[in-house]
Amino acid sequence: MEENQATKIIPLNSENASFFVKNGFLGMKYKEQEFSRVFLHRIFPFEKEWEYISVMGEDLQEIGIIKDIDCFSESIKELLTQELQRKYYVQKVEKIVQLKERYGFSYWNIITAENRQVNFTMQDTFRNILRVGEDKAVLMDVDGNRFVIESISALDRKSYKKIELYL
Amino acid sequence: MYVAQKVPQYIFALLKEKGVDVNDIYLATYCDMDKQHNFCDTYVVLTGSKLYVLSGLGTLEKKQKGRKGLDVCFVETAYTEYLLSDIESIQVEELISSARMVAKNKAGESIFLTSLTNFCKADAFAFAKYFRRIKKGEICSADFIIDSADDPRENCCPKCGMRYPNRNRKVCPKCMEKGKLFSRFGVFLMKYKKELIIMFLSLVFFTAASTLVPYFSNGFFLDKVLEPKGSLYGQVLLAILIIAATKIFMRLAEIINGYITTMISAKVVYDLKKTIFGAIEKLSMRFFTGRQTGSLMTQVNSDSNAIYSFFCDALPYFLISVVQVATLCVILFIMNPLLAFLSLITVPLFMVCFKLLLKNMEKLLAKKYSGARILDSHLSDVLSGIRVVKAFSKEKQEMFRFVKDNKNAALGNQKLAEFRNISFPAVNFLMYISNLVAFGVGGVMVMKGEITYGTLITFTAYVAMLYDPIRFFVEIIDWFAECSNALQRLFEIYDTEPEITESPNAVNPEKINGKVEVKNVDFSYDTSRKILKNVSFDVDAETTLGIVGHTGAGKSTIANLIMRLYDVDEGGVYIDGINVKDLSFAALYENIAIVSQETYLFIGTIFENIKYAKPDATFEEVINAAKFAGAHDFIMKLPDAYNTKIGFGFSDLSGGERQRISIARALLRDPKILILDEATAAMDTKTEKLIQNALSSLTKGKTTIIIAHRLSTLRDADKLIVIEKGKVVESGTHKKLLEKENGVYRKLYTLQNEALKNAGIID
Repeated sequence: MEENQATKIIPLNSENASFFVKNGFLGMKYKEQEFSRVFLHRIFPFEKEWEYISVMGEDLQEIGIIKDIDCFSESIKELLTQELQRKYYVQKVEKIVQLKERYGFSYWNIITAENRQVNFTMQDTFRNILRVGEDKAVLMDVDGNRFVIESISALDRKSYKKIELYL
Repeated sequence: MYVAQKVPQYIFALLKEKGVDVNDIYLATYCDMDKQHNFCDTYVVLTGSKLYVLSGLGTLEKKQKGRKGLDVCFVETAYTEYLLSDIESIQVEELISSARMVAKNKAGESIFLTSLTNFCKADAFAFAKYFRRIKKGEICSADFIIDSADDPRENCCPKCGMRYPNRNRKVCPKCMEKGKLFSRFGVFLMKYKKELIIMFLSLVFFTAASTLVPYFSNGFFLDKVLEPKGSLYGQVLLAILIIAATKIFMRLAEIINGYITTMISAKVVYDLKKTIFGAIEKLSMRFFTGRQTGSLMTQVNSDSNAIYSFFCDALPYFLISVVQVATLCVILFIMNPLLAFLSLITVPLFMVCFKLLLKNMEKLLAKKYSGARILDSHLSDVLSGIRVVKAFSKEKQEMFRFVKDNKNAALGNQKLAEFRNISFPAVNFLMYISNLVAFGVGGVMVMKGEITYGTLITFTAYVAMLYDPIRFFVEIIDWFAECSNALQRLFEIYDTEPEITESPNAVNPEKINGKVEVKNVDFSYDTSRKILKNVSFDVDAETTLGIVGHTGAGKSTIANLIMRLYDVDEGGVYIDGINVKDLSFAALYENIAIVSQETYLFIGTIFENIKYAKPDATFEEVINAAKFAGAHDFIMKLPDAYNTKIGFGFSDLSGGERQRISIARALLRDPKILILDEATAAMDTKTEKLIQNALSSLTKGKTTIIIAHRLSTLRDADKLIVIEKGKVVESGTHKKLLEKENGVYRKLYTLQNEALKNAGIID
């Protein structure tokens, strides 16, 4: 079994697995086994948001992989979607109000998609901006918070001018 | 009591209304989300008997009639109480950009307390830490003293309230004063007081002479020597001699100034680099794991160069310019106030335009550097991995990537050059306009006989002398900013407190026997993943312990903790019953040696590399150590034997050879405790056997800790421990562990034996 887990993909689908929520945590029944808590990890978080989801137990050992969450019923799909959305929740940058660089740190004031004004600090700005594809960028602040610019080209001109330097 | 910074007083009042004994609060923290991952204000509060989770939204509302100001209104959305006796632990589970506070009950079930973003994560971790101590009984009353590292007042700037980006350095980059940076740097300069005085005097002489040159070459020569009415009419030779003498005097002053400035700057930068390197060496391992070593080196070098260029190139010229501009302005106004006014009228406009140009150019420069940096890193990436590129025939693909990056870099250069070539001449023309006006008005004055032709020529020569210094005043603002940034970065390294420090009352025992005890150790490199969980074991003096486990189980971490490269989070590591935290560094490092899987040989000869551990070692001792490590034979096959310089010519040492040199280095020190961390991993079976034989005789009288993947190498160890997922799951002798049915060690041993048999390595 252990050897198989390490070398083969164990597919999880509606036939061998079902998910439930207990005490606010996602659990799973797999074949005859019940896992009171499981953790979902996107294998390709920037490319396949709802496909190739690794399911791990509390010991962080992989139980199996969901190839596509569409293979589950609507109710389970909703549970999985909610769990993934929470785990991968990242604030979306709608507008950059202010961006100041001082002594190796940059100070950001942004407006998120939820219309919240957020201040954060980045160290070594160039190193902490990850370009994903041509048009997306992920920013990481000193606390490890991530902020995503879904479409750089869709930013307003003033916001773009502020971040242009680092792209 | 531990209370995170963002817990307001009205929350305590609200809790009091709910019957909570606020005088019995041990811990309180703020989280910015609720269980459903929605943004709101959640407070997690622990008293001596209960845990409370209160969620809601705090808003500001206008005070009621007749009163000014705002009232805080807290709209409660959820409130839960848990009995402390029911909760075993609290954990912070990290998600991608947020986290969850989770409690575990006695049955091991998880209880979801709240979600939070990473802004509140550090406070949540502190909450979980103190909760653990409370449960362990280490904290028994609400008025306990918290660690200074968790004190919100210690971690935030008192001026702006912002948390310090670096907890080990209480400096707020937002509120830091540039002046202080330069005054700190001044300490380095003050060592050269005499030179500074000479430098200043030479500056004064240079400025005086350079101001006299236009007068002697123009006004004096035209009006006094060439003009028949002039007082020195016809004395051309004398005039030439005066001009030449002034010029020679000026150049001499310039040479002296340049020489001293360069000398001081070079020495100051040398002192600065030396100080920073000394500070870097004292820093703990965690500082280096948090950043790329390459970028650190580049940073120290480039920052030192930025400081050098400011002090060597910019500052002297700036001082000259200040004196020169002041002198020239006075002379111009004395010569003719109207002309002087007309000549300087466009200066403010010029300075504003020039500053704007520089700002735009800064962006283009950053773009250019960013393009160049991407291209550089791509080049070094491909060249260091050229074997892989060729092996997979990916030359075309790499060429395509290179062309793309190269194009971007070229575009950056092109845009900058275009901007520079068009904008700067245009702005410079602004200065020329005022000169033209002065020239025109001055011409009319000459024709009217109000001033002489020589005066006009001298005047315009003085005006022309103003351009460069004025332009430089604007440029130096950026130069100054760059230098202060560089100083800040260097002082950041200098000021960083090493996490591992020698205790002021450190013990330095005369003799160490070598008993090692690891008691209830918890450890993590970062908060997100615990590497060791409650690990305990001991090794008697002069015995051998083998540590077994899968890759990533935490074996090397144990070695790092025994060496005190890191400090444990919980528990302790003891040598001869003394906590390593209380042992002096000298006692620790003289008695412990490690040979790890990552061998590092310094630039130098093999002899120097072996002798590194014991600089006073004799030739015989070095040869003996090399023989014991099985290195002597291959060293002797090298043309320069022990004097072979590592990396010299086109030959380099193999991984196994490097490993044997590093074993020799460790053996030379003759430590009381020897740690071999996968020391023979890079060797073939035959060499490994040779070294094993040598080591078995050499480890006599030493406490030896061997970490190895190949279990056959640990067969003779007095004791073995098996680590799995950061925990000790089995311990005992090889024989005893093999007898254990379904034991982890037995399983690993069987698997490895089968693999070796299949490979034909053993029968």
